[in-house]
Amino acid sequence: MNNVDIENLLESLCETNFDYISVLKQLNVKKEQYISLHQESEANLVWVYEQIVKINQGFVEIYNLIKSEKYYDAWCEAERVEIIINSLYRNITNKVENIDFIEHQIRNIQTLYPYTLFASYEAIYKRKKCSICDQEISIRNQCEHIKGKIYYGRECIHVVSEVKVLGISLVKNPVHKFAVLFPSKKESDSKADNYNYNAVKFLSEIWSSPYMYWDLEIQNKFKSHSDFASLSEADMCPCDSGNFYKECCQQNLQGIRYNHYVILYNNK
Amino acid sequence: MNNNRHLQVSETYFSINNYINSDFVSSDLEEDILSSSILFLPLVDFRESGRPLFHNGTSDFYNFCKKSTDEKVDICIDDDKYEEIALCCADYNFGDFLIIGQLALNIFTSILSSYIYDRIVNKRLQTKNGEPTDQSFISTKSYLAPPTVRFEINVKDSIGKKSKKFSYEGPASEVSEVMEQIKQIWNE
Repeated sequence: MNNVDIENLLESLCETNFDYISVLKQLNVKKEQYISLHQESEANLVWVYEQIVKINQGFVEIYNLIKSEKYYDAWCEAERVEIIINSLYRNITNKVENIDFIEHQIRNIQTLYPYTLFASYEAIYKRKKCSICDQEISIRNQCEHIKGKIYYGRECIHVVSEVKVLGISLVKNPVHKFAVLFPSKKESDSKADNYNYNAVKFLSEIWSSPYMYWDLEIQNKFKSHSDFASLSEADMCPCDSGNFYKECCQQNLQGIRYNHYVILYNNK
Repeated sequence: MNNNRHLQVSETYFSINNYINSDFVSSDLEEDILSSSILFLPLVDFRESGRPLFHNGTSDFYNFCKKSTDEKVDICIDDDKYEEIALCCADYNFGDFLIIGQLALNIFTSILSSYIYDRIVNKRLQTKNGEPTDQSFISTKSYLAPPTVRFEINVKDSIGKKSKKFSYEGPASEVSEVMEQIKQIWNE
């Protein structure tokens, strides 16, 4: 299998019966061959193809999970795909249309989710090692490897070998999107998911195949103040601006602002 | 004149002696630190930790900085005391720096701006007049907002008469413009 064979194989990447597992196995074999021949740039190129396949595989999995109403699992898969996309783009200079499409769709999907609060750990990283050469990261004597770059088909990451966790913070913009808070009323309800997924369910009804084109438009709409009769001035504004009601939508005669999501789609 | 609402500028008296005389900088580093024009400074007693810390990712930026210039770059910490704190909120914290002189300031602002543009600004998102047009930005989801960066640059002239502090907390996309402002303000 040479690079032309790989590119021909990837032409059918967006087709329903694409065999991701088999293709990834073949790519891995090819990469190992290049590594054994000390052909670094060729091994790195195969790594790029691998990531493209994984991104598409993950995107189709997101679609399947949403269709199966496994919304939190789909959310986690979306984060995994995001991470691979960022990793890929750290190592290539040209744009890949298929990947840009997937990245855009993932942002649209995340916009529709009801999650707003996440648990974020705070920790001291006392010791870190380079995943390529296993050398401890010493501030004045660092190894030659750059975190995020690819060496012989492997990404350099810093492995934390000694850590002290200080605590947990509740944040709205986490590094780890999987750390969603799931509030429940009873202790026995520890696995309850009480979020309202109506917006995602609506998408699911329209979205008939993974690569079907759809896009998101957000419109400002307003709800009457009378719909929030129990709201006091000192409460946080329901529009989620982060401001108090009296400093925010209470001033607006139109009412309380909310996002109205419009899904634009082409069923081709 | 400061036109950026995310940039705070103040006159300051900054002394490197507070760091050199501390228990996290040994005497054999003193000469190197005093002769450097770009210095990485630890956060002291951050989160009441009782130890000097650097933000997660400092080692990457330090490495990048050293490779990007012939100016002397150093860090106010003994090797074996170097530790990073990970806050795991998606904002990018670069920490505090001391820059000595106009030339080093010009070089450092360029390096930091370049690093942020290359590694943090998502150039794939569409923009119009510099503002993102991606609909997800219009939503109130903080985790989809453009990345925020934080840093503090203390600048002193080489004879120690003039000293200013520049603190920035704002969009990564505005950093390049802010760096130009910093250089202008320092020159005033």
